[in-house]
Amino acid sequence: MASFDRTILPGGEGKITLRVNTSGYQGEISKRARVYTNDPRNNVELLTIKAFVKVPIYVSPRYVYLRGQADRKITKTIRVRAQGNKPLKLEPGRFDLSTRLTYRIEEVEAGRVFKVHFTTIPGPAETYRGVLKLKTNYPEKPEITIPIRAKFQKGGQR
Amino acid sequence: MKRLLYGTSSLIIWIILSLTAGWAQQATGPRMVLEEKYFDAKQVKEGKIIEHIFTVRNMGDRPLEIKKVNPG
Repeated sequence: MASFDRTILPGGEGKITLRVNTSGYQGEISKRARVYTNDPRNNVELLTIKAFVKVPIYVSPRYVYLRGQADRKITKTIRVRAQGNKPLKLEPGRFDLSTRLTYRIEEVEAGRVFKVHFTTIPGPAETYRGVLKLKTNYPEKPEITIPIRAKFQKGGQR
Repeated sequence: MKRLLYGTSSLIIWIILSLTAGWAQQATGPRMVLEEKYFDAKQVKEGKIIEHIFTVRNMGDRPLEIKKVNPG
């Protein structure tokens, strides 16, 4: 979001205020805004805000994207890492793709690092999306949402 | 001697014209000068709204219009 002074008189000063909402982000972020003016030599300028967003639980990658042949099993894995000292517990929550995918939670480091493995169930060529929600014991992050996107083609096609 | 005089005077005229043109170009119209173009908010907690004010100066001789600011 941006707000700004529309006119700045010769020799004067104006302000451009940029706001970045960090909800839903994690790790390094960089947000840009283009400023368009009537300066004939420099009518576009780029402003950048950078930050490192700290989260109690890191999910990497943040999305699952499955792509390939519909008649084959495809597996994708994401990693969940607790940043706090408190041991993390993960429990299954809402999953709206249970007819198309299976998932398994593997605890790699007790209470700290988990892997979530997603495997497709061979079926028709189609495109779909959904989410897996995992419940946690962290009051500051009671639920993790993992968006899933899939695109499958008939066997033998590219 | 004539050729030298002709060459020198041409050079002087060219320098004067270049300086005048440069000055005219510099002084005409609005001129945006940003104090900074980049801001590092360092570490922030998820959910926090980062707000930063960028200062713009108009060093020209006409009003500077900010037409739009497009985030993203």
